Amino acid sequence: MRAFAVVISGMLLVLALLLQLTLVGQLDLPLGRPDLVVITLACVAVLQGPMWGASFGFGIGLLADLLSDHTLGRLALVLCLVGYAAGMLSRDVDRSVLVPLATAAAACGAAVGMFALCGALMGDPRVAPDDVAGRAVSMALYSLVLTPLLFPVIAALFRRLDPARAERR
Amino acid sequence: MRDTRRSRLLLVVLVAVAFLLITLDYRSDGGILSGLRSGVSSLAGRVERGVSTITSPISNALSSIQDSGRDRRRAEQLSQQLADANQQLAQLQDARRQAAALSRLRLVADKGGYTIVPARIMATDDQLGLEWTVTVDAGSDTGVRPGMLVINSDGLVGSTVRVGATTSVVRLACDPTSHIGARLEGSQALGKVDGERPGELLFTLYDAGQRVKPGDRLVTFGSADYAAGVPIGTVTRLRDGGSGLARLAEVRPFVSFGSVDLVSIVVAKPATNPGDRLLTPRPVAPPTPPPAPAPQPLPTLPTQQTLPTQPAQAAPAAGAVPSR
Repeated sequence: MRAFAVVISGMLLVLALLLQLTLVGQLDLPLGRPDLVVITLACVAVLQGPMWGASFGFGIGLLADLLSDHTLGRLALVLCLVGYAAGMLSRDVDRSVLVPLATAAAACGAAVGMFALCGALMGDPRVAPDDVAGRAVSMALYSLVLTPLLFPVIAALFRRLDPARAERR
Repeated sequence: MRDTRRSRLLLVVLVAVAFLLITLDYRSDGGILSGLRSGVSSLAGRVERGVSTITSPISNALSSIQDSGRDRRRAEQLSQQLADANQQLAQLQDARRQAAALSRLRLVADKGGYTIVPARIMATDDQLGLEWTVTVDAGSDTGVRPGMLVINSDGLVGSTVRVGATTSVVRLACDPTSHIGARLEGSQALGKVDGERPGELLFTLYDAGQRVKPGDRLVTFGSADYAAGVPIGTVTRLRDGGSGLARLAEVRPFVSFGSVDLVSIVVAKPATNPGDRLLTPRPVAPPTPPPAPAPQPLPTLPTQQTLPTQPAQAAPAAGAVPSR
């Protein structure tokens, strides 16, 4: 059952990435755009712990890197760290509904910030500080809208796949 | 599965791998990583294309909602621009029409040797359909005085009756109270043209011994006030005169009084009578005699007429100053 949960998590993240690239990335929303990948990763990590967060973050980040034109490994590094940090909060997830919400928002902000920092260190000319701040804030705000929709679905999936583990937590 | 030694080790390994990848990709311009990348991209491209066929209706619908405001603004902007352009076009056409009318006026004035003041009709003072006067935007400031002929490029329009500083009232030739001295083309046969109704004037030939027939054309006779030689109209039909001595003919004016816009007021007439020069040449015109400089009625050869029964009599007035 555990392997099944791994496959489902991977499929969820890949689906999120594809939707992000084909649908969300082409929307011209005010302020900025939500990032489905980071929100999904935060949900998975906060439910399953830091190891899942780190490894899935690395994996989906690497895939996203391969599909983009920036330096390979940048998103892998960022999402790996973000997933790990989100996973650290997994012990508090049942305490309040605000925990996944805050985790997703913080993950979005941190992902944008770290990705931009990474780019700045490597001399990526596309990084502009004020732009980065605005995008981090808007992405965090959009995650507050999307997480309440995504988190219950993902949580229900994991509970069905691995009831014993859900009990243990 | 908390924050254990294992998970920390995993994190460190993953971060190290990420740094390795970054370094490799940053340093190398091609090689195995770019090959991997292009392979993944082409694979993902296929998947993305499949996904986007599903999601593109959604994304189109969402963006159309977003764009509806922008589209409406754009549509308003464009329709405003179209209206402006149409207005400009109308103004341009009007200006071109006016320029053409003015140049025709100028041509007529040059042909006749008249000194003209161009004017535009500002108002028609058609009260109860009984009075045929118009107000034009030229007055005594530009040298207009009462009793001057008003013409356009087709011919006689009327004459000024009241003159203000910048406006004048013009009595159209079709007004029943308008009487203007006229003579037949190519002869000195004298008469007067009275207004009857728009589209029809009445020519009264003073000298019953002269011949008038349909198709004859009339020009103004000229007097102390009036310029001579302005085309008036064509005789269409002879009418039995009630007054007995004179002969009456209906005249179709050259000017369409309903559609007069630009006119010119003849403020000074030439030193010599322009004669019939202003009439458009007839297609197969018999050689017209040169215009006589002294417009004196000379009823020398009273030809035998068929219409009148009264004996021929001399014209009542020689200089024929039109009564107004």
